[in-house]
Amino acid sequence: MLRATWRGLLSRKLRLLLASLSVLLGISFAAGAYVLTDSIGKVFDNLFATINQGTAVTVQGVSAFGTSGFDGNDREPVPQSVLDDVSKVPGVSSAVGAVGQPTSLILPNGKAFKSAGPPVLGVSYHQDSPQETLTIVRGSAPKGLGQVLVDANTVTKQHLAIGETIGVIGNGPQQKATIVGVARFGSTNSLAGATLLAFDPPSAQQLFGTPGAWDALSISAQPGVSDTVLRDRIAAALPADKYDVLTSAQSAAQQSGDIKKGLSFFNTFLQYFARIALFVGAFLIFNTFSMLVAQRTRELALMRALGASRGQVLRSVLTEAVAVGLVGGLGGLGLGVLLAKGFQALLSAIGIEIPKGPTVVETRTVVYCLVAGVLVTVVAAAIPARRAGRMAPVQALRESGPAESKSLRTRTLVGAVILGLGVVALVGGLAQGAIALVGIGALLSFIGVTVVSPVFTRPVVGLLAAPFARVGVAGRLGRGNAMRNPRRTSTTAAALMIGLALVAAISTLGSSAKKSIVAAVATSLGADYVLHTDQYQPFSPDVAAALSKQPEIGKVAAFTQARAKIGKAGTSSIQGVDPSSLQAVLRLKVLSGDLSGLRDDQLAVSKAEAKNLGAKVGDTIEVSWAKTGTQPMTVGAVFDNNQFAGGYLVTASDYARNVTDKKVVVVAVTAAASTTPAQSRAAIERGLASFPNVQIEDQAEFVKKQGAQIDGILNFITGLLLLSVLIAVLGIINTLALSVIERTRELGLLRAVGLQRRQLKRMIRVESIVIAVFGALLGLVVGVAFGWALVSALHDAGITDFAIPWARIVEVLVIAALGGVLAAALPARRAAKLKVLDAIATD
Amino acid sequence: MTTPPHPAAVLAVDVRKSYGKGETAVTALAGVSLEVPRGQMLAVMGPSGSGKSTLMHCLAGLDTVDTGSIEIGGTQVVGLGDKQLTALRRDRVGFVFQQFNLLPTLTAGENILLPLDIAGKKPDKAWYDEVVGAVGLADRLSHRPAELSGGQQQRVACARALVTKPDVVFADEPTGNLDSRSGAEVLSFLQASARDKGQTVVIVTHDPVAAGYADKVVFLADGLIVDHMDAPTSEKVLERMKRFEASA
Repeated sequence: MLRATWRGLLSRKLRLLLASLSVLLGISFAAGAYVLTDSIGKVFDNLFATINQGTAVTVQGVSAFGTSGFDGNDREPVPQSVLDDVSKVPGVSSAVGAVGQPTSLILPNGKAFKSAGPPVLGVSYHQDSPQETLTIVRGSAPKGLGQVLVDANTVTKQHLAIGETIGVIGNGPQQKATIVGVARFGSTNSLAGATLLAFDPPSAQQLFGTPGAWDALSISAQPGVSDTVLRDRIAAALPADKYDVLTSAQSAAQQSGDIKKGLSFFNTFLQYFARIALFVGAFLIFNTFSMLVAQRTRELALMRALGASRGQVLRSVLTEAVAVGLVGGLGGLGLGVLLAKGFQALLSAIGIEIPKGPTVVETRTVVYCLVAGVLVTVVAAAIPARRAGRMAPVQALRESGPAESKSLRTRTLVGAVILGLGVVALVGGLAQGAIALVGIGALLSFIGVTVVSPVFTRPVVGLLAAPFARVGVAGRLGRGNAMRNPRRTSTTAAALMIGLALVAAISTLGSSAKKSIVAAVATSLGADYVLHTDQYQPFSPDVAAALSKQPEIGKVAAFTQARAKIGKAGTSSIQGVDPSSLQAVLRLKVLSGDLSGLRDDQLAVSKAEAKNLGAKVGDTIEVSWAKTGTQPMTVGAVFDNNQFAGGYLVTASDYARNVTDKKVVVVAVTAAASTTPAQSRAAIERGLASFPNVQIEDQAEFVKKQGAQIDGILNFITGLLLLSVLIAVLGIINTLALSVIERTRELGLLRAVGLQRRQLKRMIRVESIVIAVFGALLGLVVGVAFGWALVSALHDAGITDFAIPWARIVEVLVIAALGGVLAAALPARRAAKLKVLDAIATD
Repeated sequence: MTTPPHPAAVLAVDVRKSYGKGETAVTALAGVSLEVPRGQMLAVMGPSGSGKSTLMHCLAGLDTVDTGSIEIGGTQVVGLGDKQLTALRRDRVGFVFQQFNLLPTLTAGENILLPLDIAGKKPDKAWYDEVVGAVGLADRLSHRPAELSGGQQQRVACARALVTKPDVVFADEPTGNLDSRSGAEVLSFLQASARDKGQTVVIVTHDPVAAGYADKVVFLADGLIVDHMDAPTSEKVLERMKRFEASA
C-alpha cells in the first residue's frame, strides 16, 4: 500500500508541489520572523554583555509601573546625593552618573531630523571612564555645551562631518553645538539605529536631564570585589524599594530584554500574517486534495475492489498529505532563513539598524515549521481523505469521471451554523476586547462563508461572467466552466476572499478613522493650530511661554502627558493642562461638575473612563504617581469623550508637582480675534524660532497629516496581506491546472470542432477572472461587514463614523481581475499546447 | 458555402505517414490515394492497426502527413498552420467521434450550434430546424448531455456535424459504443443526409453492419488501400473481411 502511495505521489508531483508551495509560503513567513528575532536577540545579548564590561553595578530608579523601556520611561532620576553616597561604599572604584533622554536634532541646514522610528537620545559622555559605553573612533571628547559627539551611523546617514554645527533641543531652546567627534556603541556603529548625541556629563545634565540628578549610575569595582558583592553592599547603603541595583550582567540582560520585548512585538505581528497565510494555504490544500481524490475515483475504487480497506485508502491519502506538509515545512524553513534577511532590510528601511551577527535557527523554529506544515496539510486533507476512504469499490467500474454534485442543502445548513457561531464569537470578542475570540470568530466566519457560498456561486458567477458571455463563445464556455462545479469554484474563490476581506476590513477601519478625525476636528477641536514634534516626541515647555508673548495669538494650551496608576483602572495616560485655556482649544462638552474651575487635587474624567472607574463627580480616586506616590484626588468633572482630551486631565500645577519631566506633547493655539491666518501663522513661527523641531499644523493640515499616517499603516498591513493574496492566486492556478487535466478530452473536442488556441486561452482566462472577482466580491462583502463590526466596537476609542472605502474596493476588484488573468496564463498555455489527437484519445 | 464547386469533396494523393524514426519507425500510411465525390457516403474499413484512424485524422486536418496531398473541397490541407487548420475544421469539416462528443456544460441545442458559435456565425434557422428534426431531437434541445442516452448523444453529435453544411463529415466508429438499435438510427441518419441532402460522409469502422450503410467501402491494410467495394451490404463486407483474416 505504501508503495502504491509513493508511486502515486511521484506521478502527481507537480500538482502536489504546487500545493506544497502554498504551505511553504506561510511557513516561510513564520520561520523568517523567528529567525530574524532570534538572530537579533543574540546580537543584542552579545552587544550589551561586551559594552558593559567596564561596569560592575548599575543603579537607577525603580520602574514605577513595571513598564519596560519601550513603553515609555517610568523611572525617577537618581539624585546627586545618592551618587555621592554610592561613591563611599567600600569596594567602589568609581561611580559616574549618566544621562539618557529623548531629544531633537536640528541638522546643519536648519531642518529638524525626522527619524523613521528609532529614537534620538541626548546622552552623557564620560571621558576616560571605564564605565563609558561609547568609543570615540574619530575626533575628540566633547567639552561644554558647544561640543557634541555623534554616533557613526547618524554621521554617515545624515552626511555630517566633524566641525559642522548642529542644533540640539532638550529641556530648553535650541543649543548649537559643534561636532567634535564620532563614536561607536561598543563594536557597532549605532544602537539599533538610535541617534546618540553625547555631551560632557554636566552639559548633558543641563540640556536633557534633571538638575542635580542622573538617569542612572554606573559603578566600577576595585580589584578583588565581585559584582554581586558590590551590588549587595550598594543596595544595603540605599533606601529600599526606591532603586534598582543590578550587576552589569543583570542590567545587560535587562537592556537586551527590553530590546527583545520590542522585537517580540514585531515577531508576533508577523506571526499573525503567517497564520493568515497558512489558513489560506489550507484552503488550497483542501481543494487540491478534493480534486485529486475526485479525479482518482476509479483508481481508489480499484484499490478498494482489490481488497484495500477503507483505512488503508484513507491513510494512503493522508500519507500524501504528510509528505506535502513536510516538503512545505522544510522548504518554508529554508525560504524563511532567506526571508529573515529580507525582513532585516525592511527594518533597515524604516531606520532600525541591526548590527551584523550570525543567523540563529533555534530548534523551536525547525519544530514549528515541520509541525505546522504537516498539521495544516493533514487537517486540510482530512475531509478529502475520508471521502476517498468511503469510495465504493463499484465506482471503479462506472463510466463517469468526477461524481455529479449532490444537493447543497445539508452543506448550506452546516455552513450557516458555522457562520452564525463565527459572527457571535466575533461580535462577542469585539465587545469584550478579547483578541483571541475575535480571531476565532473571524476564522469560523470565513469557513462558514466558504461552506455556504456554493449555494449562490452559480447565480453570482453567472452574473459576473455575463459581460464575457455576451462577447463570444470563449466567454460563454468560460462562464459555463466556472459555474459547473460550485464547490470547487467557491473554495478557490474563498482562498482569495480571506486576504481581501482583511484588506477590506482594515481599509474600512481606515476610511472610518479618517472620517472620524474630520468629524472630531470639526466638533471637538477649537484650536486653530496644533503644534507638536515629529512622532509626537515631547518638547520643551518653554514653547508655550514663547507663544503667549505674541499679540496675534489668543489662547495657548500646553498638554503634558505622563503615566499614572488611576484607581482600579490601572496604569493610564494622564494629561496636565491649564483648565481655563483648555475650553478655548478643545470643544469639551462637560457632562457634570465644573471643568473650567478644575482645582488642584481634582481630576477630570472622560465619560468612558468614568464608566470604567465606576466614578462620578465628587468621588475620591487614588492616583499613584512615579514621583510622589499615591495621592487621593477628587473627580471634579466628567466630560464627553473627546479624541484630543484623552481619559484623564489634571491641572498644570498638579502635574508639575507630581511629575519630574515637564516636557509637553502638544501645544494647541487659537489665533487672536481679527488676525488673518497669515498673521497668526507668522506669529507662531516667530515664537518657534528657537524650536525648529516643533511643527505647525492648522486644522486642515492636521486632518491631512493624520489621514496620511492612517494610510501609511493601511498600506503596510495591506502589503503584508498580499502574501495571502498571492497564495490564493496560486490556488486559482492549481484549480485551473487540475481542471485542464480533468477536461482534457473536452478541450480536445473543442479544438477538433474548430476552437482556435486563442479562443481556448480566452475561455480559461474568463473562468479565472470570474473566480478571482467572485472571491474579491465575497472578500469585500465580508470585509466591509468585519470593518463595520470593528468600527462599532471602537466607537468609544474615537472611531465614531463609518465610511466604506470605495476607492480601495474598486482597486481590489481591478487587482483581482488582473490576478485572474495572471493565474490563467500557465494553465491556458498548457491547455493550448494540448495536441488535439492526444486529447481526444485520452481515456 | 462560397467554395467553388469541385468534383471531389475529399481528394488524397499518395499520402504517407510514419511514426518514430530510424529502425523503430512504424509506417501508418504507405501511400494512400483516395477520392470521395460529393454526396457519397464512404466507409473506410480495416483491422486494428491498418491505419484507418490515422487516415481519417490526416484527412480531417487533425494530424499532419509526411508527404502527399490532401484537398478538402478544393482546399489544400497539407502545409496549413494550426490557425488555418482549426478554421478549416470549424467551417468545412464535421466530426462524430466514438464517444465523448459533447460538452457537458452545454445543452444539446448549444452543442449543435457550437461550431457556428465558435465561428461567430448566425445559424441558418431553416437548416437548423431541418437537421434537428431529422435527428428527432426537437424536444430534447434544452437537455444537458448527462440527461441524454448514448444514442441521443450520438445523434446530437451528428446534428452538430451537419449544422455547418461542411464539405465532409468524418465519423470515427460512431456506433462503437451503442446498442444495435441506436446504432442503426445514427447510421440511417448519416445515410439519409448523404442521399437526400448531398452531404459527403466518411465513416471509419470495423463493423460490417455499419459499412453496409455506405455507398462505397475501401479496405485498408498495413497503411495501403487493398480493395474497394461499391454498393456494399453487410454480408458482402463480412465476407470480404473474412478473406482478409484468412490471408493475414
